[in-house]
Amino acid sequence: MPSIWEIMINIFKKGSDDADTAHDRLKLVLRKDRVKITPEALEGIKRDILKTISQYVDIEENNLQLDIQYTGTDTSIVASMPVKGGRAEITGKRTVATPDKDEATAALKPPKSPKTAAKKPRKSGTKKTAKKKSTRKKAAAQTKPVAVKPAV
Amino acid sequence: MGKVLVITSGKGGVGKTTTTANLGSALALLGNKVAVVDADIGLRNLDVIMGLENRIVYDVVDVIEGTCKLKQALIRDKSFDNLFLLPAAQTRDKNAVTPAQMKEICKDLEEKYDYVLVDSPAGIEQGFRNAIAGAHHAIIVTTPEVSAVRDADRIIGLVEAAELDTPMLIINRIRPAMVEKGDMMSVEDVLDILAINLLGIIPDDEKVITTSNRGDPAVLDKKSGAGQAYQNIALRIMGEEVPLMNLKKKPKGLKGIWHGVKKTLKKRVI
Repeated sequence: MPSIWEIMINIFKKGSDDADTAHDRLKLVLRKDRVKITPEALEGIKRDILKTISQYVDIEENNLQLDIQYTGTDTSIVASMPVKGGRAEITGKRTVATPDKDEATAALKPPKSPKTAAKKPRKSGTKKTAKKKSTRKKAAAQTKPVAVKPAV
Repeated sequence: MGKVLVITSGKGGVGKTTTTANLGSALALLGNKVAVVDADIGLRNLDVIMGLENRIVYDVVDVIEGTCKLKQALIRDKSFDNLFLLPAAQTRDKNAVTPAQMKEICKDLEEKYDYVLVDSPAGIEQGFRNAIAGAHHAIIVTTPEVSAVRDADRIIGLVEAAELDTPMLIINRIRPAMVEKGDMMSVEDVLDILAINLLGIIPDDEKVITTSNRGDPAVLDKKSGAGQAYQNIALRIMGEEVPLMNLKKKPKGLKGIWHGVKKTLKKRVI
């Protein structure tokens, strides 16, 4: 049973929220429309992240996931990379000697120094997020009409 | 040197052609020399909206192919002496014209006219690219519906990429009663999403249908809300500052009193 108060509110409140629904749906769909990342670019980002992160931590290369997420008002690229064996200690020191060597050479080296490997395990699936700015400037919107300057 | 404005939308059926015809008429009414160009090759309609369909001899493709001179293809409007139509070809397809050729035509027209309005076809293909090729400014027409606003957003992106001056928005077919009830997106809702400058708002108006049935401009109908809105927009195009039209009609009589009571109570209760 709705209370008298609720009945009163229903009588006097605005008709519906269809307009809000439309507005919210549009906002989300346009945020998706406005992000243009090609599959090739996504692969490239994946490759580069892998290269950088694996200098510090041993991660499961095949399980690196890159997603574009739309939450609240933010659009983010979210990378999820499970740590191999669930063990890692990120000390700030590179565990692989030279950063620029290609993956083939890097793979030959021991992935971790014996010291790090022995330490306590950490949570796997470390997440790194990077926010991506909306593609169009918001500043231009005005409710007032604009006047076009007459041609010179 | 005149100004070339393209009227475009992405989605079809939002009122590009009606807007082109009425803005052309309004600008002519205000004393400007105006040319309107139908860039919708194969699906021409600007001629019927303006009531000039029986006067067409040559069209834009004839001009491009050199069958006639530009001046010969231009049709003088029946209501305004200073308004001219360059019709599209009906039996050809949009590939009969290239953006470069369209640019050439716009260049010729802007030398002789104060305003050149190009009516763009729906879509984002060749026809659209032709329509924007010679334009300085873009006027984006949308309605307060999700599909139209989404397409408008896409078009704004394309127009910006083509380096036209800042696009301006016309929100067409607003139904104030629906907006009031929360059943239709408001002007603010649409602007919040598209984030571009607003050129004007047009109320949904049956007069637009009745006047176009006859091939007359709605601008000449003093009772037409849309007609008045188009006149306001024409003034803004000419650089004048005109406040936005107030679309809210105050209910009269008993209904009006009830409306007032409801409004006060709403403020107090919630």
